[in-house]
Amino acid sequence: MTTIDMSANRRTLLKAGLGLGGAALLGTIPRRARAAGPDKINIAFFTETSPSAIAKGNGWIEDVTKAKINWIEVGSGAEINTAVAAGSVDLGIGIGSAPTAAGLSQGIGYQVVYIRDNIGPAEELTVRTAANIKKPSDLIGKKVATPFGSTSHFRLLGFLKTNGLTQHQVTVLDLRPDALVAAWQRGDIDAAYVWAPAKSKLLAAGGEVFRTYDKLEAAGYVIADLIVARTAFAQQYPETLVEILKAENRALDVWTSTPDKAADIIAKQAGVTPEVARADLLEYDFVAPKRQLEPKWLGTPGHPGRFAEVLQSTAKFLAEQKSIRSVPDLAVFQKGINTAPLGQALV
Amino acid sequence: MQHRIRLRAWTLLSVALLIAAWLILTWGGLVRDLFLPPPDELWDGFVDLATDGYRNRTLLEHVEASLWRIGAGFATGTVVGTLLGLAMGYWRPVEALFAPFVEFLRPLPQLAYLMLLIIWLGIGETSKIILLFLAALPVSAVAARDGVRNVRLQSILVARSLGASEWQVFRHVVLPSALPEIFAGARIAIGVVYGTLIAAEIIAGSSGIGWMILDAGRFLRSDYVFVGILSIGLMGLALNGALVALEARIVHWAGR
Amino acid sequence: MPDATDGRRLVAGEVFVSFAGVGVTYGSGAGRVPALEGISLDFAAGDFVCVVGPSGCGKTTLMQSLAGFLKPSSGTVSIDGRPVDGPGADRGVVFQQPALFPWLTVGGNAGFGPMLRGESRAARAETVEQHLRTVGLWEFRDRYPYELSGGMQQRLAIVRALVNKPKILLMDEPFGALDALTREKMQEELHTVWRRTGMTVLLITHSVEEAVYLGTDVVVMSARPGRIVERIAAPFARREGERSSRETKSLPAFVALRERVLSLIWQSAET
Repeated sequence: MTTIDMSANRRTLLKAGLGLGGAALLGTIPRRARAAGPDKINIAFFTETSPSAIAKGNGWIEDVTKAKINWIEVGSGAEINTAVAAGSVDLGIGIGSAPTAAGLSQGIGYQVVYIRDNIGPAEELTVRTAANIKKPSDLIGKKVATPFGSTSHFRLLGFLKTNGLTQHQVTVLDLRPDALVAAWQRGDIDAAYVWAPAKSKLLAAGGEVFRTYDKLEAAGYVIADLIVARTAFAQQYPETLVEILKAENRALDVWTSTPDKAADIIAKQAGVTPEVARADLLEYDFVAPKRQLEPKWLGTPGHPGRFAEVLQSTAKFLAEQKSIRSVPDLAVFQKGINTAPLGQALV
Repeated sequence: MQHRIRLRAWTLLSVALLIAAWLILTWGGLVRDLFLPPPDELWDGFVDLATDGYRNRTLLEHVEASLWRIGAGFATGTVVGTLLGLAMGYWRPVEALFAPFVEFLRPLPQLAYLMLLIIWLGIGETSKIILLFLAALPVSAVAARDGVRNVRLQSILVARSLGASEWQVFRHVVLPSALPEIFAGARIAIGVVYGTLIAAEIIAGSSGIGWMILDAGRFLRSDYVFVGILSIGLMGLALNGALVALEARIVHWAGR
Repeated sequence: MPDATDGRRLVAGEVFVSFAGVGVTYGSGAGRVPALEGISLDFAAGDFVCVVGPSGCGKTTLMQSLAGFLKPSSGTVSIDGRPVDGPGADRGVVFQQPALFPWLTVGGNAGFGPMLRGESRAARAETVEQHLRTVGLWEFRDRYPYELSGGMQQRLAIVRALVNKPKILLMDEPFGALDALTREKMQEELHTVWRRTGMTVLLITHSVEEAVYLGTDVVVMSARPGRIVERIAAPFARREGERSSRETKSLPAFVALRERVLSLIWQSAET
């Protein structure tokens, strides 16, 4: 704690002493000044049951960056892509691997700096019990809703494809999570592929899980939630980024060491009961920071991990779906992963 | 005539300048295709959408889906709105009954009650068409009511003195007198309906040009977005042109 | 009431139109404005009654109470023995503005009254044609009102009233918006129509010359509240023989009567 406070004080002094005004001046000021953090950070986030909510809810990001944080709530990773392309978001917390693969393919200037979780069973097909859907072919003639452009959408289409079902046989509808819950309660849809807390609400309202994730993961349809940083931001404020990732790690520690306390805080942020939050959190495989640097995931600087391949195969699928025009080389995805800040955060 | 040709030339010039700027910016490499697709990409996107389609539907099918919704919402909205407005203008008690709702609904952004429509009416075509209906209704109602209010008193007195009953005054004097304003209202209504289309197609879309733009926009497929915008724009021009032509035929006396 | 406000002097024929002690008040409470007071006026079928007076004397109100556009606050207005209760097809109305229906053709405007009664197009065609021919509008039958000149529009408005065969024609400043030449022509045409049909006419006008020239009776009114100052019989409308309008208007008797009416108006405006 003391070190953080001291470094913060030093920064404040530097700012005052040098009269640091805007980013445009940065090139001309002495090297040490580069350590100074930004005045304001635009962070896009989802309302979801994840440890990131602890860091946000406790104000840790504000504390460690000493900056004004502009929290921008988004409903999809696609919104983060658009906002980053427009330069109005610096950091996207919880963006799915599908929109990230799309973004990197399209040359959006951001980097993956963190894998927060391997989604696993946390996003799953939920079917209406009364509809008696037991095998994939039971979905023929049914309406399945999912937020288009999301990891869930990617999984659902993968599920249909691996089971030889076409979108002429199964009607796939585009609904945002809140609208999806409303449609479910009215009985307009029989199945949905979505994440918590919407998923929990469906289960509570006559739904049951139709397990797809294990077979899909084996078939290469791995999905994950990530943290992306605008490339220019990561280059300009590497130290700030390290501090934010440290806060994220601390939040994860709270969940692993004191799940009840964590569930309380997260529940308040996500607007669900602590019990629901806890149940949701248990479904995620939160990838510990050290594991993220293993070859299976992000790798280390100079030694890119296999997650770049996951992103590329996701992009290939999206290109088949015409969501993106073309898929770049693996090197583009490898360059799109920056493990340096996380490495420093663990020192 | 000479004057009109010169004006036409100015229009052509502005369009030509815009296209030239587009070519320079894109082919000159000044703007990335993510932000503005170059002509060849746009053409490829158009051909692709027209032949192979987007999410299992061709461009034409998306256009058809949207036109059907616009047509249904606009037709029901303007017909009901106009009848309501005529009644409101002619019979004060009707005005007293409905004015609060019409005036409240008119400035309301449609997205505000979108969620309610989904909860009440489901995610099918009904909620989409009702949304467009609700967009057109207050505009037409207010136009028709004002049309009735602006009927010249002398026209009514003359008709009464020629033996017209109250219904005949309405049918033969008030209604035709209000027609120019009813048409003006219809043209505003089609604009509002058009603006609401994208909101309507947010509801569980899988078809429609508005939804296509929205969905392609999620992945920043700006070529599809531009093709969609051009399609929707041209559709709008055609619809407005049709209304103007109809108006010139039916209310030929307006403005004379 | 003094005699001066009593216009009930009936020369010949039976009473056709009767104003009996008619008063009209606009507004209520402190803002009450009496527009007409103690109007008593009778006239017979076939009379051409012209009402003149200074602005605000209630001429138009007088006409409107007979047309049934407003209900008198006191007294009764009756026509053919029946009290007036609202507008009706028996009283044709022509305003200063022609108030034509722009969505109908000239023919459609002319046949509006019979159309309201449910007469078929064929049934009303003959009357419409005959009336349009007399005022020279037949060749314009398929045109729209906005394609006509001001004088033609006013002719059409008169035709529209006449086609409906009213018992009386009520005209409020019908030629007020026309240029002098057109106005004289229209006066002539109206005179001809009246001579031919023997229709009863109530004409409200600003022009004393017009009133003396066209009217069998000239009623002079005073301003606020409107009262009848005097009712004068005018001989020129029923004149015999052919004499041009200019000649008639320069006759010493015509000039004398015109001056007398004018001085009455001046007097009433001053008091």
